[in-house]
Amino acid sequence: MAVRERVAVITGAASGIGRATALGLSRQGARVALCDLNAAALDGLAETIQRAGGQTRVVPLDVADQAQASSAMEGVVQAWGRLDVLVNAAGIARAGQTSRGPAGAIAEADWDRIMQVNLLGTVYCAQAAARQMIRQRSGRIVNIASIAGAVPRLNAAAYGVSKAGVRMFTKCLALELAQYGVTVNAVAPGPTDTPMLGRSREDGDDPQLREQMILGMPEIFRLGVPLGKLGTPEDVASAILYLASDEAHHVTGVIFNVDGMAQLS
Amino acid sequence: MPFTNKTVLITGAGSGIGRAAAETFARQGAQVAVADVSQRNADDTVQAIRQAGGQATAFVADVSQRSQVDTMVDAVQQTYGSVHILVNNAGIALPSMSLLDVDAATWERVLQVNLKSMLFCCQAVIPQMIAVGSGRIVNTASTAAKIPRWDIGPYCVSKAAVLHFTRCLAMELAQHQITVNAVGPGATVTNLRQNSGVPEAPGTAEARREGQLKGDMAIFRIGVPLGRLGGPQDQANAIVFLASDEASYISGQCLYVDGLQSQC
Repeated sequence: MAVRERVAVITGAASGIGRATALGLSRQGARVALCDLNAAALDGLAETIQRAGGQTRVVPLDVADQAQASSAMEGVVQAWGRLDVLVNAAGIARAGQTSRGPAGAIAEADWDRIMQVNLLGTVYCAQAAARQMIRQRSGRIVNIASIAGAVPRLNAAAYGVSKAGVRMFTKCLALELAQYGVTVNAVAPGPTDTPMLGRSREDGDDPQLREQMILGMPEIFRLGVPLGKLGTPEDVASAILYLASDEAHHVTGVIFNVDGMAQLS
Repeated sequence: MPFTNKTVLITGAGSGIGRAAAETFARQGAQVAVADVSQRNADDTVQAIRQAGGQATAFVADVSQRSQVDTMVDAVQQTYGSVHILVNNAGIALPSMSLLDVDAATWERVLQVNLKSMLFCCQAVIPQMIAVGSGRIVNTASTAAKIPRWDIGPYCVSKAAVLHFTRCLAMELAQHQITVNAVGPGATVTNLRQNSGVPEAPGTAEARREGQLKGDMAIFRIGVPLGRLGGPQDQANAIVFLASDEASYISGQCLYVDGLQSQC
């Protein structure tokens, strides 16, 4: 299908990787539905896309609410007649006071919120999108995993477990949907220069943090980044755009690391 | 176009995945050095590219021989200048055999062609990339690098070695902003066996295809969940992405293009 006829839904579109992906898909000519919990933050992005001649709509969405996820996808299908690409970029680095800290001290509510948004949010949106993609016998789902879902990090058990769940969900759903010609893949960013980077740390947007992440810091990214720089949202979006393209129709169930080789195998 | 003024050297570019990659790079503006051990196959690819309006030149070399690699890379540089993108794609298949029966000559040959050729090509080309301050290397691995097969153990071992060669080299070259990645083709429709002088597996073509798709205890136990064999173009698309400017933060990775076979 010509790219300009495609319909894409991007969750977590207001910032970081979601935003870069929405802009990239729109530049390719896709119609993009922008979803975010913070819908007000989407207006500027929608304007940018429209000024550049792109078609877009804003969809307020808490991905952790299955009914909302379902009606968001249905709304897009009603408006535009199809759904070709779902990018599950919504995610949170922390919830409450305890999610960033020793695993033994994480409160149930904080644990649940991380799982609800990062893992179940991905599941709910994928379920709703898959219903339409199965009808179409085509579709692309791209999830955002993380290096933290493969390599253990201190004080990030909830986040890491949620992202490990995303990795396995990606593979299970890929196997299930293979018979319909729907592919399901994930990108796994390493340290990436997004607003989440600051939020992931108690000390916020510490300028030294970037340097430490690149060199390797025993308490977080033990290994550092051999390519010597943080990733950008656009670096990750490039891999998402490839996985969402017609050219990648034989690629499914893969976890594509975009991390400057921070994960060594 | 994305690869205008970029020189791409592709080994094994006379057929299959290498040829598809050569044609795709050429369509996107690259000048393509088409390397192959077969003059006829290299010429075929070059002719197809030129007829489509692209730029390509044939270079005949047995890349398992260091002296031939060095001569080839010198010739490429004289024709097109420094190599920006190296695609180490040349490889051979093996007749079905047990690891218990493999003789030293077969073992050495499969490692020589599938693995050591990559070392030779990299050693010859990387100084040019370091001088320029950037570069892309993409190696053709295989799903067989990750999943053991029953029938061609030495081939699986050679491709697993390619994966770790990819990672180690990526680590060394990260400081120079040169990325090194691999693609992992699953069952792909090419003439690899024929070009390697290896007889087809027993049975009709249709039965072999069914076996690959559904899973066959005598090959992979696992079939292709996506329900179709890959084509050379599928692999070429992945190679071209990994060689693009957009993939500058991706290194040391193997992108499996196998319809989910290696993930199950």
